Amino acid sequence: MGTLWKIALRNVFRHGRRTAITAIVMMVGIGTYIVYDSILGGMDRLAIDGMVRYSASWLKVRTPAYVADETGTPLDHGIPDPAGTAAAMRRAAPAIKAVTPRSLFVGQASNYIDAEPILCAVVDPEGDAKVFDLASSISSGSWLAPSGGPPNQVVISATLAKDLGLKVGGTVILSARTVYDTENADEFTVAGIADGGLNLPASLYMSYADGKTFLGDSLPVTELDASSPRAPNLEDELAASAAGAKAVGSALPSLDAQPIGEFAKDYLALKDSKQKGSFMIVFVILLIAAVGIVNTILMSVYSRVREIGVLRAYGMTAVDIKKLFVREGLIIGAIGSLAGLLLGGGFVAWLHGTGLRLASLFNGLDLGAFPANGVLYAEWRPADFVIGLAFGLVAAWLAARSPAKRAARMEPTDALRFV
Amino acid sequence: MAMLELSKVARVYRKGDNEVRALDGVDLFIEAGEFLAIVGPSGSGKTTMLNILGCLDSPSSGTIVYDGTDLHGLDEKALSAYRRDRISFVFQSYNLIPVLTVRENVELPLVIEARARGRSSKDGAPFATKTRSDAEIKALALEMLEAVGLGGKADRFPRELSGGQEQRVAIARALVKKPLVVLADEPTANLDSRTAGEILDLMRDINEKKGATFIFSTHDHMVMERARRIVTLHDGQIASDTTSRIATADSAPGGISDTTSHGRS
Repeated sequence: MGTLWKIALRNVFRHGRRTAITAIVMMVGIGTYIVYDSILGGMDRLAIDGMVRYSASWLKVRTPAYVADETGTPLDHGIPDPAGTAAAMRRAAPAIKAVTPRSLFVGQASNYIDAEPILCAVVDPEGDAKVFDLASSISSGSWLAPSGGPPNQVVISATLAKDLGLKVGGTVILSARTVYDTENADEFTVAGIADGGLNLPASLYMSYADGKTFLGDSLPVTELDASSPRAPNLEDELAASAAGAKAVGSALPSLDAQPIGEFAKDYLALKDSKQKGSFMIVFVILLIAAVGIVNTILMSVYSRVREIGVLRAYGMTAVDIKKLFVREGLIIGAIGSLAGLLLGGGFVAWLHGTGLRLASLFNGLDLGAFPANGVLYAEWRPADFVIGLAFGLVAAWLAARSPAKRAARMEPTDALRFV
Repeated sequence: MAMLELSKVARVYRKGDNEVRALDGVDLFIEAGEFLAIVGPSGSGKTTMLNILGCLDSPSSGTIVYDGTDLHGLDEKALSAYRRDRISFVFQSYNLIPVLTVRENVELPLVIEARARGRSSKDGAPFATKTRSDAEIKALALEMLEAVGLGGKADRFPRELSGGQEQRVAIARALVKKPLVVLADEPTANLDSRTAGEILDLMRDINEKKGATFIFSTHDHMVMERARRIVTLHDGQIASDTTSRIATADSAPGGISDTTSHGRS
């Protein structure tokens, strides 16, 4: 080890208390940045996972005509040969684990007293449970029975149940326009109430058997939804979904294949502003740490003025003196940064493995667009560790320069006389 | 030719409108191997003289010729290099580097020199010479520590030594690079009289055996008793310049029984 490094290192440890205070500030700053950014990543992931689990799925295939008229949820732009199309999707994108059909339509739900317009979904109860997680989000009652079960059963959202005062076993009157462009109305029994928060795409779900009876035998499949094994990181998930959509789009050029990223683009657009927020946090904390480093090095300079004089008298150049104190700053910065990486990494590892159960944490609190249920897992973001270390070292280097320059500017005669 | 020649050296400090002439036209010629004390009352210019001799300060006027090299007009960097290669210091407060061991403290001048030479070699500077290896530096430091009687303390830190031992380390540090001159600023001021005597005897011994030139700035009679030549400063000028006949004759510390005037040779 070079003599300058040796002197710098030993001085840093000689003044252990002030080194520790500065390093702890840096550790907390960098650790907070890593944890905060990983939790932000985890929240992004949770929100996107919610879309994949309840509404958008990993990859959605519809006809271009349907997509163009999506807000009208028309029943006259169905996918031709849904079974053949599903098989073609699997062939085109081997990452697809399961495919299920859905048919969306607009209806009106009533409890005989009040009524409200709702979005409804006709689903394949068995297939849907392989792609979506709706079946696991039933808070009371049960998911739709497979084919052969009792007729006119529906699962409704917790919001609809609350609005109309409906309970499991209760009756909801549904009216809607059929595929024959006529109005139909019928009574349905509430089999279950789903509590997927705002990620539920529809307020009422029924099986294809009931849907065809209610809306007409030629009820078209308006979308095919695909699932895929969950990727460890959001970026991987988005990339895999985009690649799958591209492959399916090439294999089925007459259809419109949309990856999850397209449905989540508004949400993902917020990521950049959140990222700026996390940079602000690390900037503010590192600014505080930088002030600490300036003070630490200044104290070091003033407690070693005569030492500086001796080194200068023996021919050490002003540049070497500056290097000596900059290295002390860098060592403190490296200690603080590495401790921050360990602190942040440890916390992220715990939160990545164990997760945080949001329902118990927020206890039904309304968090707006963010789903207040599920488990929040921190995302591993290796770039955060590199950024944290780089920020720490650069901040330390910049902070140490000014007091180091002051040390270098000292006249040896003044330094040697210093008491 | 003298090893060190000061001709009409003046150092003027300005404090506001006031002008302080710390040195006022000093002529001084020092031969290699001298054991010389600069004495005088406070404010007489001793420290300024030592700073100028040590290339830590530059004169306002006059010339300094060190071993044939005129230092006039050299910039800070060049003076620093000259200091590094030719001059060593022993301080009143020892000024050892507390985080370095005794051996590392003694190695320090050689390491600084090696760093500079390494840099010069890389830069392709014409005066670059072969740098010493780490092993050579360590061996030289240990040899010097043996010479000052601290061979067994090489791995101790300065805080583990007595004042006298610290000053011995400082002497070893000053001599390890075989300098042209060792400048000692009140080297015995912080020591008890017995230890001070031992330290001065050690320096005299090294002066006689190794031929190293010592220049002291001091108030201490023990130093004056052992010095072969005493230059007395008063108001920035040389008031007297005397050589001890006894000290010159038998090289033993015995006081100044008789003196001769020391003029330009």
